[in-house]
Amino acid sequence: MREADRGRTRRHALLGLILAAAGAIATGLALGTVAIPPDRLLGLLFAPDRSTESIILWELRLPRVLAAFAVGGALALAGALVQVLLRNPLGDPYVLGVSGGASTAVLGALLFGLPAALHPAAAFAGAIGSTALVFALGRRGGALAVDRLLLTGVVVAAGWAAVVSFVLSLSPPAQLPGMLFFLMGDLADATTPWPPALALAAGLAVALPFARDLNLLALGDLRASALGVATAPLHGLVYFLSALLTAVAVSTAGGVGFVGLVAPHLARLAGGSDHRWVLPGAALLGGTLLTLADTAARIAIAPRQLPVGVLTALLGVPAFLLLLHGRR
Amino acid sequence: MAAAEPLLLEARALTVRAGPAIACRTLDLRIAPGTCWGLLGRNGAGKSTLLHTLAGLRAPSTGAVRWRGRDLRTLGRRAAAREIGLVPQGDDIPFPLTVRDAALAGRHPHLGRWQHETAEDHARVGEALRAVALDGRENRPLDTLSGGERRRLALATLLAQDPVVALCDEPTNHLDPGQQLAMMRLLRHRFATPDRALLVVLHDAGLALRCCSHLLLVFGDGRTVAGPAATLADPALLGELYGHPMALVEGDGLRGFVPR
Repeated sequence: MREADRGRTRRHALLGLILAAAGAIATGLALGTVAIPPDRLLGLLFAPDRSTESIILWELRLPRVLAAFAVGGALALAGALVQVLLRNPLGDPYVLGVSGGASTAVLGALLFGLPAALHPAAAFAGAIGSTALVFALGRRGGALAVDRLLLTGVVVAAGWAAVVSFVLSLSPPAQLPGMLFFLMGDLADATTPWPPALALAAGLAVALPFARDLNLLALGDLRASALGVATAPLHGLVYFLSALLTAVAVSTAGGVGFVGLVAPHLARLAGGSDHRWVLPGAALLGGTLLTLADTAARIAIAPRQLPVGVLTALLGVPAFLLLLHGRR
Repeated sequence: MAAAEPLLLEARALTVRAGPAIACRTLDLRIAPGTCWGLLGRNGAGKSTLLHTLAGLRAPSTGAVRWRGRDLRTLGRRAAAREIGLVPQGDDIPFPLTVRDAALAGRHPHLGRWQHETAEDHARVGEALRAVALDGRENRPLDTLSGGERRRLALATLLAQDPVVALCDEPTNHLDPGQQLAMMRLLRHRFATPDRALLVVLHDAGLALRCCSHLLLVFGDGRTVAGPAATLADPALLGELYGHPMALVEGDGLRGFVPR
């Protein structure tokens, strides 16, 4: 393949992903306990009226579907960044201890009866606190040490898991379902897409100018700095960007697993490891995957709803294995 | 800065510690244009650490590394990478990458933050891959390359980077004897030119003597000996360097060193 062909292929792939994302969002808006046919959906999007369908669309589905897309995109972008930072394709955003810190904080808030409106704030505080702890402990001689960071993150996450189990075993049974849904990842309480959407947009805007530097960072610190990358500041940027994206995602939707791990891989399998492609590609794929998963979670056993985290893996695993298998 | 003698890379009173070893103590080294340096020493003597320090990737314990008369560390990473190229050892890369992607990385220091690779960058990468006979394999994934092909790809990345001074850490590793010589010839052809210079870590003293104009012997206890290659090609000195007696063998007008 010539270079010009490869550029064109990637542009086509991005266009395809944008169309797929739009399709997923449309599907999410159309399907539910009350199905809205496509022509009616278009009409209501451009001209809301006072019908039940219009209210369902504008006040329930649109915020939730967009929140699902933004959370999925934010987790995927965070995953792509963490994988470069750790130089480990198994890295996912929760490796930095983000989800454990957030879960512990929210469970504490639930246990102490804090109002639901404060839960996202508690999750965000827990996530950032845990991230800062891992960052402080994962350094050696002032510089980030990848092996140490990974190990610190895994161990801190295990610590939070123990605290979570402890809190769960103490909690009144009536509160358990809510806690479990948060732990598994659930978008039922997502009332606004703005925090994850803004985080995703800002994250892409900040990370994309450094995409070529990230390509080099993936080759190792020594190679990257020999080729002109100031690695220490880039480490810090990547670390805090991925932590922020994950914290916002977790505070919106709880601990949705698998998207952050698998979406960057899907992007790499589909179009190579150039981060000028991987970052937007993974974000679009992650958003699409979580939107479809959340739609399925809403309608699979309607009128009851599943937590979306249950379905991300159920959909993501076969998708990933198919692509991996098709490659070899 | 106009010096009495034009210098590219210079170590001034440089001390470099590498774990338990001391690669050099108060080393003064002057790498002038047109020279090709061979860096010899036993395993663990700190050769790689010294190389990284000379490339400006590591702060010296004491002393300074200077580039054309100014402190290398004031130059900025990107500017330094246009002047000094480093080919490190080893090449574990955890992500799927093609031959072209890897070689294209060499163009990074020449591109601004908002720039994409131009046709010229791609042409240089194509030329670099041709020079190491990897053309036609641009789309091969790295994990399908042999050890020798990977070393040649690392060299192609260096050629694409096109620095003034090349520092190579055991570039002949994993290469058969013919390829070793071809690699050294190519490096010399590109960098031992009137306005460039080359410093190569080698384990074969015979190859170093054959290809290098100067040698830097690193003993690992802080002692170093630097000078024209011909004056240092002494079995007794090399025996001391490697901690094992060495013998000089000659034939067909060529000289080599083998352990006794």
